[in-house]
This record gives sequence, structure tokens and C-alpha cells, in this order.
Amino acid sequence: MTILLIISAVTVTLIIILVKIFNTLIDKKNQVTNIFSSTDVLLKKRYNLIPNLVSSVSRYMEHEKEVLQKITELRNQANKPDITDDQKITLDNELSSALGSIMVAVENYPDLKANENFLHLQHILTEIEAQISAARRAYNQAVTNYNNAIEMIPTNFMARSMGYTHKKVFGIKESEKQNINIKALFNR
Amino acid sequence: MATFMPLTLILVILWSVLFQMDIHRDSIRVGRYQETFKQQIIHPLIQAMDDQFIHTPDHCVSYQLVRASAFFPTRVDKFSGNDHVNGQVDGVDFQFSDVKLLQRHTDSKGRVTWEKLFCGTFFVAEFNKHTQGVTVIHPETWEYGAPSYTRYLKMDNPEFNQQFNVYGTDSIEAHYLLTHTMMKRLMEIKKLATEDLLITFADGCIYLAIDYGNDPNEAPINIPVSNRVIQYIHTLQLLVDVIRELKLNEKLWAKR
Repeated sequence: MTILLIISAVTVTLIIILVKIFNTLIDKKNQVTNIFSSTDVLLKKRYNLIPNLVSSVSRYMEHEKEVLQKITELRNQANKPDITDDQKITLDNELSSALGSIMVAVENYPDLKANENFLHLQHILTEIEAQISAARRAYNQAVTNYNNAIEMIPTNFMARSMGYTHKKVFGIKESEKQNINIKALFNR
Repeated sequence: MATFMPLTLILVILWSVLFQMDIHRDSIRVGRYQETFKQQIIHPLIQAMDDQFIHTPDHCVSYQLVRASAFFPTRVDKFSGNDHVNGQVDGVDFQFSDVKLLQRHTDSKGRVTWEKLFCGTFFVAEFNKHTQGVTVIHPETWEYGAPSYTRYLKMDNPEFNQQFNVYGTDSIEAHYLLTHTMMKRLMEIKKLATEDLLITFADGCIYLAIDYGNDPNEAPINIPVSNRVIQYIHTLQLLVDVIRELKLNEKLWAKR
């Protein structure tokens, strides 16, 4: 009788532990998914600004036509349906880099820097960049928590059986860790 | 503006020492003593900080603001406060006062006791970013927990995670508010404060509470008045530093 009771107690404890591990993994995976969805919304907001940005600067920027074309192309690729999360992350990194080079090049065009429409666009972009930067950091933190859970003992055993795999983080440049400041880039 | 004139400061401290001697000699009742302390010490101190600051000794911040801060997810049965101050520093509207929050307990024999949840300074200022959710920052030692609608959020700064626990309704918003620079500044503020700091971002405001465990503007007869004055100067300077250190006057374009 005592042995039966001990076996029952151990079984119940094991079940509780397994349920807890299962729920923790689900929670971490959902957290990553939720934050990625919010990040995606912000990235789309930025993609929507790109046509305006390109039309505002293309009249002035004679030597950056290739970069502007690349930005438009990246936007088109990012707007395609059915692209994977990893592809979105790669496209975002490429787009951020291309936008960064445009921002630096603005310095060579004083007329553009004085354009009201462009200044307004710059303000909106600054705010969206701050939000995207926060979203990337939040996503990376959620992914780190998730990746730790699927690699650490004992959660890794269940994660493997649930088919959970390692997720990719957004690349964050050192300058971005200090706070993105497009205004400063424009005024460089 | 908002910095003490040295001569005023010396006069106030000198006056506080004389005031203490005077009190003991004349054995004035404690209530009268507190009132005189506030009129003759605290009020001139606030005016010395900035003559545009408005000090109302018998008012305090509203209970709604205290609840909005989400510092106290527990039940509060008694709320009181005093020494309300409001004004502007570098164009940022702020207000603060002392507040006291008590919780009532009744034992099996029907005896009533009051537990002190918080007794200290409560500060509210405009924040320079829009917020839709709630982000609460507690010191490691905070015992009353976080609101049930928030979840623990690990930030991407290990040093900050060691000093504070962050709870919030939205992880992205918490990262938006707590940039690397902001986390660094909050750690600097923590170094300046001698007591535990509680910080909340909600409704486009920053809420800050310093738990002294007693009313910082009351002056017990057994404690030298000059000590109380120095503590109060420290608190006032800290609150002004919060506005300046956190650069609350630097509004993002979205909030202009």
C-alpha cells in the first residue's frame, strides 16, 4: 500500500513537472510569435513610408539612384506574401543598411535638407525607427529566452520532442544599441 | 532656477538649528511644532528651490494618480498625504507630495491593526514618449509584487536586471521606454537615492515613489531638525535631477 502511494505521488509530481515544462515552452514560443507579429506591423509601417521617401529624395539625389532602386526592390520583396520570418529578418537588415546610407548621403544635398515635406518624413521615420529598434530588442530577448529553454536541461528533451528549433535573432548594430538617431545622421 | 541659492540654504539650516533649540526650551506641543516646522522650514526650502513652485501643505497628489502608478497591487484601506508641490522644471510639468498608504487587518478576536504599505514621497511628471500600456519597475527588494495584468520582462541589460525587476503589459513598449541610455540613467538615479525607488510609465507620465517608511516632512522632536532638512533637500534635488537626468524635456517628434 505504502509503495503504491509513493509510486502515485512520484507519478503525479512527474506529471506536474512535465505539464509545467510544456506550458513554459508554449509560453516562450508564443511570446516570440506575438512580438514578431508586432515587429512585423512596425516594419510594414516603415515599408509604407518608403515610396514617399524615394519620391522625395530621388529628385535631388543624382548619385544614389542605385541605392534607391535597391530600397524599392527590398520593399517589394518584403511585401510578398508567404516569405519566412528568417527572410523578413534578412530583408530588414539589408533595408536598414540601405536606408542608413541614404541618410548619410543627404548631407551632400542642402536643398533636400531644407525641404518641408522631407523634414516631415524624417520626423515620422525617426519615431518609427525608435519603435522598430525597441521591437528588435524585445524580439531578440524573447528569442534568447526561447533558445535558452530549448537548449537547457531538462526543457531541451521536451522541446526536441515538440519539434522546436533554434530561432534567428535580428542583427543589431553597435550604433543602434546606443539609440538610433536619424536626426543626427541627417545633420552629420 | 531650481537650484538652491547658497545663502538661503545656510540661513534655512541655521534657522532649523535655532528652531530646534527654541522648541525644546518652550516645550511647544508636537502638533504645533510640526505646523511651525512646515511653515518656517519646508516652505522656504521649496521657495528657495524655485519661487515658481507652488507648495500647498494640506494637500496631496490624488488617490487616482497613486492607483494609476500600479505600485500597489494590494488593497489600500486608508490614504492620506500632505505637502503637495507642483511646478515646472525645464518646461516639464510635475507634482509631488508625501503620501501614506495603510491596509487594515482584523484578527480572529476582532482587533484591528493597520499595516503601513508605503510612507514616503510620490512624484508624477509628464513623460516625453507616448505610452499605451503600463511598465512598472521595482527594486529587487519590493515585497508587494506586480499587477496581475503585467508579466515579468527581462531587459537586455544584465546590470539593470540585477538592480530592478521590470513588469509590463507590452514587451516592445517596455523596450521602447527603457532604451539603453534610459536604463543607464535610471541606474544613475538609483545611486543618488538612498531609499528604494519605484518607477512606472503609464498614461504618458512617469511615476516615481521613494519609500522612506515615515513622513519625510514631519519632524520628530528626538531627531535634529537639521537632519530632516538635509533629507528634504536631498529629496527635492533628487526629483529635479530625475527630470534633468531622464531628459524628460526632450520630447520625441511624435509628442510635439
